[in-house]
Amino acid sequence: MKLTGSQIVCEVLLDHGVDTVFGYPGGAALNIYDELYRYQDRITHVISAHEQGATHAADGYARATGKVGVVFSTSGPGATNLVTGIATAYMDSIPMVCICSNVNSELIGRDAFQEIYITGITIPITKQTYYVNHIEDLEPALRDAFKVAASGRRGPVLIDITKDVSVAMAEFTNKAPLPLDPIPEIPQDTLQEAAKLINNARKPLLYVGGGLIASSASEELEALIDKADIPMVHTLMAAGAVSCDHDLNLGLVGMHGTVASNRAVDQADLVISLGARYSDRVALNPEKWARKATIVQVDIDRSEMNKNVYVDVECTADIKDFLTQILPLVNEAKHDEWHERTVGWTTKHRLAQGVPGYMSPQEILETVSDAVGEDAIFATDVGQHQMWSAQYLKHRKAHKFLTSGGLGTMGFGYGAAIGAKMGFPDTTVVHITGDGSFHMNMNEACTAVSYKLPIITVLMDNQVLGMVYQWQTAFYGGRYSNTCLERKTDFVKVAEGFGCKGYRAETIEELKAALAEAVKSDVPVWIQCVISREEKVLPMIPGGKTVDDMIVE
Amino acid sequence: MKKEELKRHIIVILALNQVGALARIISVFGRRGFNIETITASPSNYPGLTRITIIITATDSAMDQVLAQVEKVELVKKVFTPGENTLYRELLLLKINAKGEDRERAMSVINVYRGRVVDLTSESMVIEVTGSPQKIGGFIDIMNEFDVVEICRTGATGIEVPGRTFDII
Ligand SMILES: Cc1ncc(C[n+]2csc(CCOP(=O)(O)OP(=O)(O)O)c2C)c(N)n1
Ligand SMILES: [Mg+2]
Repeated sequence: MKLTGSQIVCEVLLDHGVDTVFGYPGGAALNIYDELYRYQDRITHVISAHEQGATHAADGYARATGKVGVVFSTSGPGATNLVTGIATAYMDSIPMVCICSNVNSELIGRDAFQEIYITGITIPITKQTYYVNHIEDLEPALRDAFKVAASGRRGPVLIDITKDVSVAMAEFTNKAPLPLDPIPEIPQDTLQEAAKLINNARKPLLYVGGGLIASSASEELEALIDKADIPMVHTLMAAGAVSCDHDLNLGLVGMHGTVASNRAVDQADLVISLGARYSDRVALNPEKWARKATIVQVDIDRSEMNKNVYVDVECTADIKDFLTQILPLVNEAKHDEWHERTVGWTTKHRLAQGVPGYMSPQEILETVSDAVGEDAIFATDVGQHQMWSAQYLKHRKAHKFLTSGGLGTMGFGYGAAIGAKMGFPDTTVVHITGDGSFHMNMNEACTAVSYKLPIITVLMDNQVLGMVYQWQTAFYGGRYSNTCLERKTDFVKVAEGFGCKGYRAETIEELKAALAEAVKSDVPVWIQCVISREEKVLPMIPGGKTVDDMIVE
Repeated sequence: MKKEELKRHIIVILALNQVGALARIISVFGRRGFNIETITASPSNYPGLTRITIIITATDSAMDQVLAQVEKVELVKKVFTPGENTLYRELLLLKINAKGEDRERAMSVINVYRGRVVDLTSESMVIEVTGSPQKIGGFIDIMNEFDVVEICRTGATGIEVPGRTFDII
């Protein structure tokens, strides 16, 4: 049958099982939005306050559900407002299809009103871009976009459709999605070699990253940990890969990682990385990192091999596939001495001393975790509160901790929380933010209210850009340039103004009371937790340094 | 990490001939901090595929990394570094101001390099030379004795002598 470009867009979405999209309309997108109006019984379009919020929502939706996130925008400023969100998804390998509209093709290149070369702007932050100015190219571009976004190492793609294409007609038939690129076959000798290394190691360690979450391989990972008695450390992106209650889960590794994790990396004789990319926040000093270990790197993306740290064995593979295949080759083992040493380091972990007169970040986050249970999804912004969330929330399951790891985007959290809640309406979603970050995205409260998404925002209000403030304290002689905000925002009132409920908590009792209300609420709730600006994120290994330079208090 | 020496590397890429393909491929080099010395692009014998030849100076390990990154670009169908046994050619157009005796001296150099004079005025001459990048470099060195007003070279393209066949798509 013959369909318009706009209908083709909607039909291809349906072909890919898309029922929820995020976005913001405008002149160039009118035809597509007109069609979304007609498809509203099958495709829910969430209108955000700002296109950046829509991209973070599509991203959060993808992180929580494992599906491809979809976001729409108009031309010009609509398209440029997507950029931070696309870059955020790109850095964390989140599958996303962005569908932008552009001006009529005959106006392209003439600096027409709201014309922007968005396929050029987004080259370095997408896996692929498609500029569609002929109707016959539209369907293939859309189908390829979904395939590319979800294949191999996932990531965002962008399609830019000129307005005339959105009304032009073309022949169309519904089809199944294109098959994804096949996952690489693992050479037998690589598997044998890795298995031999594991079987001979005395101090083996698993270093787990976001790739494991993307591959949904938690069960397989735990099976390996248990069978061969191997401790694991995880990156920010892999919080919840295995429950924090597992004694061999040594916790976060890297700059703000646990003493146990960083020591274990330093002392291990074998490190196996699973979908982790040895970033500068983990391998702070790439030459000394895991200095005693043979390193096996497993990643779906060949270009990650040897990028930051030289490894001994490379294995380009899907993580789940690798774990499934290696498990039978690995001997049951006990590394009593190593086990006790590593686990011993975790128990020595001292309870962070709070600043007297204030709730400590640890108390707050543990209280929040206990109040919402292990199925809750957490989305964070960026700063100290993000690191505390990584350290102190009780991460028990994968796909439950949504945070901008690679780009570190302040303002990510609220959008991501909205996306997660759209994906899982019956799951409690908690947005953990800071006073700086919240001012970047609190506009999305209107979205949460309109769609009746009772997201709980826990605002860790230290009245400063805490993470930057901490560095100024440590490395800039206490010259607090532009980090002491002293804003007069009354969060409780602002919450009410948006149609949310607002609480202010200065004690754990007040926090517990507010949380008890929040979990029952059918509107979004903000809980402002007053904390001291002098709280630090610790431990800390300064950039370029090693575990020997770790600052613990 | 050992200190590695910088070397010249030649990369051949076969990519879909689409709007923005070249920009995306080049962006990979810029993004990873490589300066491209020369680049040529032209249609290949595979319909719809452009053959791009790029020369960069980099360490071996940086080179491996950039190759892996280029391979990852969706539009790229094949990337390789040609073997030892490869013929490289480039084209030079060079303009000098020369009259009288200078002109005769220039002609003798041009003849040695099997160049051709493709334009001649009473003041100036435009010379065309093809050959390996080294030969072109040598020719330019010598011609610098004259009043050189303009130089343009295409950048190298290359082909392996025992033909390589590709398994594309
Ligand atoms: C968009 C953006 N701008 C700037 C930064 C740099 N930055 C990182 S953390 C931080 C402070 C965040 O303050 P707040 O949200 O209050 O969190 P806190 O550290 O106080 O918990 C800043 C400015 C960033 N990560 N993202
Ligand atoms: Mg703050």
